[in-house]
Amino acid sequence: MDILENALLALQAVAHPHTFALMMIGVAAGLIAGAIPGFTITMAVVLTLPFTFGMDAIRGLSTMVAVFVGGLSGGLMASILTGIPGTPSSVATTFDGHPMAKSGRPGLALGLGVWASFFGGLISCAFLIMLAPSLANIGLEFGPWDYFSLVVFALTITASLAGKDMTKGLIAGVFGLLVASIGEDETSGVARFTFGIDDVRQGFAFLPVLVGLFAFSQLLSDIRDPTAARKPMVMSQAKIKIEHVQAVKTIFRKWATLIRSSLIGIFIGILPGAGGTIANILAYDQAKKASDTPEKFGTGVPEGIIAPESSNNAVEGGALITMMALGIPGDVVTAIMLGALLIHNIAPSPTFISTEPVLAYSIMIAFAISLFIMLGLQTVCLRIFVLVTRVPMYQLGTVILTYCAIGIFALNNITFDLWTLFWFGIIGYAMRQFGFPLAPMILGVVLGNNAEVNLIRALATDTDLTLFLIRPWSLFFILIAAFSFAFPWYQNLRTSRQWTLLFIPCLPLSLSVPLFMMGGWVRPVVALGLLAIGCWLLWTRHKSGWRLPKPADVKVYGDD
Amino acid sequence: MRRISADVVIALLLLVICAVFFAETFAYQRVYLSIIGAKLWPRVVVAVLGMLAAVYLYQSFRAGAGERDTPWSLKAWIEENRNVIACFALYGLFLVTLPWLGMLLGGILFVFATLAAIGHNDLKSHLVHAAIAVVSIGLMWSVFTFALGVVLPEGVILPR
Repeated sequence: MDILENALLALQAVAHPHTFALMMIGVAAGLIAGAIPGFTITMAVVLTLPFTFGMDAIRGLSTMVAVFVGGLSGGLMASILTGIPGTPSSVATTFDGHPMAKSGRPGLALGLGVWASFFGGLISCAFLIMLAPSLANIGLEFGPWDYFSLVVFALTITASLAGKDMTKGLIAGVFGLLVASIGEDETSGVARFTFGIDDVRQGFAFLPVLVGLFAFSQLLSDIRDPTAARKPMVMSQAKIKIEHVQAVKTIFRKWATLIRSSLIGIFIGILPGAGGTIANILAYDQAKKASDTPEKFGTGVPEGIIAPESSNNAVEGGALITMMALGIPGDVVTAIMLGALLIHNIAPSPTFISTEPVLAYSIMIAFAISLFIMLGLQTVCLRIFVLVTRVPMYQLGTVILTYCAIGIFALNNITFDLWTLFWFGIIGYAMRQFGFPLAPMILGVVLGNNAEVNLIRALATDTDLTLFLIRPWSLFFILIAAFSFAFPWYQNLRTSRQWTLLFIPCLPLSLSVPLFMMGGWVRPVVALGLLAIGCWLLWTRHKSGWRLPKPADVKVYGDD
Repeated sequence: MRRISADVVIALLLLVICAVFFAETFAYQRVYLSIIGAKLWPRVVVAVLGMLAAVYLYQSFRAGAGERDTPWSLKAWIEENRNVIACFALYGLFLVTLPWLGMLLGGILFVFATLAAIGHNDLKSHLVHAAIAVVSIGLMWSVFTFALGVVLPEGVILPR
């Protein structure tokens, strides 16, 4: 079957009235959930999951993609109207969105946010459709050595992007691997880390662990302060009309900001573990740097809304590229989607697009259609948002907590899953309180089994460990893992240590080695390009006398 | 005397966990047919976790406990986390009583008890809490039972 035929079959499945109706509900639910401060998009997708158990994979995944798209765009409503970010992905939107709304243009601010989200999503969707199948062909070249190194890379980069304390990020990631290894070993059937408890022999199901770690602990953190929990979430404004035409005209005038921010979003989305939280701030910062009037940022300039909103929506396309092409979740939401695939007995792997082409294209098409639905529903959801945010957090949180329990029970119909939710809720809450990032742990739980299977396969084929270093793709991932491991040191010391000047030039230089080893003609040409970039970076540093940057010129990302 | 930080305690706890888990790998049943034992991967993971915990312990010792305005007290900690403790305790109780109360009755009681514990404490609020509990759980239970065909725990008091 060719690409066109698969795409048509996918379109037929996604455009089915039933699926379309589910996607509309999904986008609306995502818009409202994303708009509620304290409720992350991840939680919205987690809560959707139980409803998708009874659906086929295409319908279930399309609904989840719709919730995700809605959630990414919903955050802007709270950010612009109240100054409180609806989700961490829309933090930077508050910087200019709220001042613009306060200065009497809430309709234009919302319009800019909505349309920037739409165009950002559309650009990343185009990249998804173009890049994912090509990357999937690369995935077919992977042996167990390469896949194992890919998992190591994913965990390392997630830990390094988690914030100031990389050790905590790495501990969280390895702890996730440990949790994934509890229960019967798939190959030999040997019970591991059960400590004599029979129920643990089956291991911990992925979703109760994830919901416990993320949603349960998030809800409890939200209601921790008794006074804040009892107040209505937001004293919101009503009766606002979105200025669509004016917003589109403004965005077309600022097209460079839109394209640059969308590309930043796609790139951040492709990196495992890095999501909209980093993308929106990075895009805002770049828009400010590129502006002729950077001093006006923070007072309500259109670029200050276009940049964060287009980048946070573009993240989704990037994250889906990584998920579908390599079987690695680009962020926590795509990790949940991988869990949803497992429920439908579809193993996430680099061969996903070639083995499940219709489902893969359905996800891409659902993403594109959801963007249009989002555009249509934003005005309606604005009214519902105003109503929902009048509910006190403690009421909403308690009801959702119970809903999580019912949904998780529906997964396997066993009470043990509810206890898993409980224990991992406690672990997740403790981790939050003590500053351990949750994303690496979730990635560890998701990828633990794959890492083990591929390591065992690699060692069963050949016990020679140097294969991890002489196979090009494995070396490629190990090199990036090493650089991402060293990144926090580079970030902290780049104003004081001379060696940090070599860090960035060394990255393309070293990555060119495995690319040369891969053979053919395309990759060696890319390798030559990387060599040239590396040499040029070295030359610029040499020309400037190996001078370190001033502390005032340096920004640190990822300390969210 | 130098105060011990929470990070030091967590790092030590992690090291203890690693030791216990590593010891557990020696109790695995031996499978003669397998080429590579089931204990290889868990040992690698526990060893890496142990090393990271040791680094974390070293970093925590170097960083010290930091200055606190007031000394740590259990009473203050409980007061600070009152809502969270109430939620965990009631959720635990909900799970323990689930075989008897079932999801419908147990869920309604859990929502009502939690709202009463962490919300406003007056008659009007309690009536609102009761209505929220009955409507929200009744609705969810109906959706899962009748629309999605999921058999939720029935309990012995209100069997379906």
